[in-house]
Parts: sequence; C-alpha cells; structure tokens
Amino acid sequence: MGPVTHELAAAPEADVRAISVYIVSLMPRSSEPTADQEQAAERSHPQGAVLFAGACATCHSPGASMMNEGRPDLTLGTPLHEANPRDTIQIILQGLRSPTGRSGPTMPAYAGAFTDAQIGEIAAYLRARYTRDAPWSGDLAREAGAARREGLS
Amino acid sequence: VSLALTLNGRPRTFDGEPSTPLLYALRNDFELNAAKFGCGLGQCGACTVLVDGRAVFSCVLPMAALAGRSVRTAEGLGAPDRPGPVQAAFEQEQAAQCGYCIPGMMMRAQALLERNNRPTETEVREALSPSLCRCGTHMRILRAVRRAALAMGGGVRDPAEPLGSIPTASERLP
Repeated sequence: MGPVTHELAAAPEADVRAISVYIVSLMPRSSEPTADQEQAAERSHPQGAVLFAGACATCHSPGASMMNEGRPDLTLGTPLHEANPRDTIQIILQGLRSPTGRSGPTMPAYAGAFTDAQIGEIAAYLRARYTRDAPWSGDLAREAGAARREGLS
Repeated sequence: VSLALTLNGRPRTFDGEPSTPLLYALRNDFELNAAKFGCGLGQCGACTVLVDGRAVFSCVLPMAALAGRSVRTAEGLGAPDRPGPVQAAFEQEQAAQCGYCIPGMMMRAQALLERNNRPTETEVREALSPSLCRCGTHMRILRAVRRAALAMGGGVRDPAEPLGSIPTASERLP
C-alpha cells in the first residue's frame, strides 16, 4: 500500500478528493467521531494497558516524539477499525519497515517479545481505547498464534 | 508488583512498576549494564537481549511481559576469564570500536547460532541488521560471527571472505 499512496501524492487535487469521497462512501462508520478512551480501556483491559505503557507509549502516546512530529494518532489507524484483528496483530508481530532508500514509518517487530496471550491483550486494549467499534470476537490469543504461523515464510 | 523471571539462568524477582522497560530493570535493579540505552524506541538495537532465546529490544519491552520467562544478557554469555564462544570471537576479531552496539550484536549472533550454527552469509546479515553500528566495524563484526559459528560446531556456509588469522596486537584497533 505504501507505494500506491506515495505515487498518488502526485495526482491532481481534484482526483485525490474524488477518490477520498468514493472511499469514504464505502466506509460508513469512518465518519463516526472517535476519541482516545484511555481510562475506560484501562479498566476493561488492565493487562493490555500495562503492556501498552511499556512497549508502545514511547511512540504512540500524546506528547511522544512521534506524535509531536505530526504523525497520526492511533484513533486514525485503519487496522484498528477493521472487522477482524488480523492486520493489527500482524503489525504488532512483524512491525513496519520503511522502504529501502526512502524514509517512511518504522516500528519494531514484537514477535519475539510478546507471547500470543500478550499480543491478544494489547489488540483488545487498542480496540477499546482507540475505537468505538464492538470488541473483536473470538479468542485473540489464538488469533495471534495463527497470525504468527502465517507470518513465518 | 512482584514478578519472578529467570535471568542468566538464575531465578530472580522484580519489584516495581510492571510497565518498567526490561532495559531499565536490567541496568538499575539488577545492575547488569551490558545492554545499552541507545534510542529508546526499538530502532537501534543497543539494548538487545534474549527472551526465551529470541533477540528483542529491551527498551520497549515492559517487565509485565516477562513473568515466568527467561532473559539472557551479554553477562550470561561468559565472564572475562572464561568468555563464551561469541564473546571470544568478538574479542579475537577486535570487532568493537566504541563498543556501544557490541552487546546487542553479540546477543543477535548468539540467538542466530543457537538456532542455526550453519547459517548463510545472508542469514547472518539479516539476523544482525536490526542492530546499528555507527563506527563502521561491520566487516569485523561479520568476521567475528563467522569465527563464533565455527567455535559452536558449525560455520557460515558461504562466507564472504575466508576466516583469516587472528589479528596480532599491532593490527588491532587502538
């Protein structure tokens, strides 16, 4: 997806607006306001909150260096709003690498750092904190285990 | 909060904030100073240690994640008078210049060679790539990993250069 958005940066503004309107029409829920529901999420997912504080907050919390550079807040993170947690879990497991020779988002991979249960806790916490969508159904630890196997080539 | 973990083969207990990064607990509570603070963002690799045998960035790993797990630092690879094979190889090849990245590099080499002591050159470079070295001793670090692989009963399959003789004192970096 990175190369697509990079190339589209050169498209005429009218085209960018037209594409945006079309995509938003496919995502009715995306117009709902979202907010950082930190305290409610901490109450419902205390373990996820602790793991987030020690692993993710250094970049993703208000006031973190990444946020001060104008990078998007996790409320705008598309994977957190998806119907299933697979993309979120894969990003936690594998991280993000910027393209070779270009600057871009970077995130460390947590596959070796967290157990399946811990990945599940973090995913549930992120969904509760940064979206107003229903919690992901199913056993997220099991999803993390499946995603881990899929991610191994 | 109190949590139990295994640290360099010994049972240890951590008392403190569960969100404390492992790196801070290692350096401040357990007084193990091999792992270094570099960027604090999981991007430079100076803080790399092993958790259950896998190389991780300890600066972005909270203690809460470590209950019942096994952590290994460069102190756990050997001691000055009886260095482990990875430590001995890094010393023999004089792989350190400033040395700040070296504990992390050694832990990545250890994780790789424990899993696979006959890696390809590409596998070695991929395993080490999350650790950054700004001095530029990469070629010496790679030589050290090739030497360590041999010492651990294997060897790099397609070494980019043959294993040379161990540098003499006069050839060593100042």
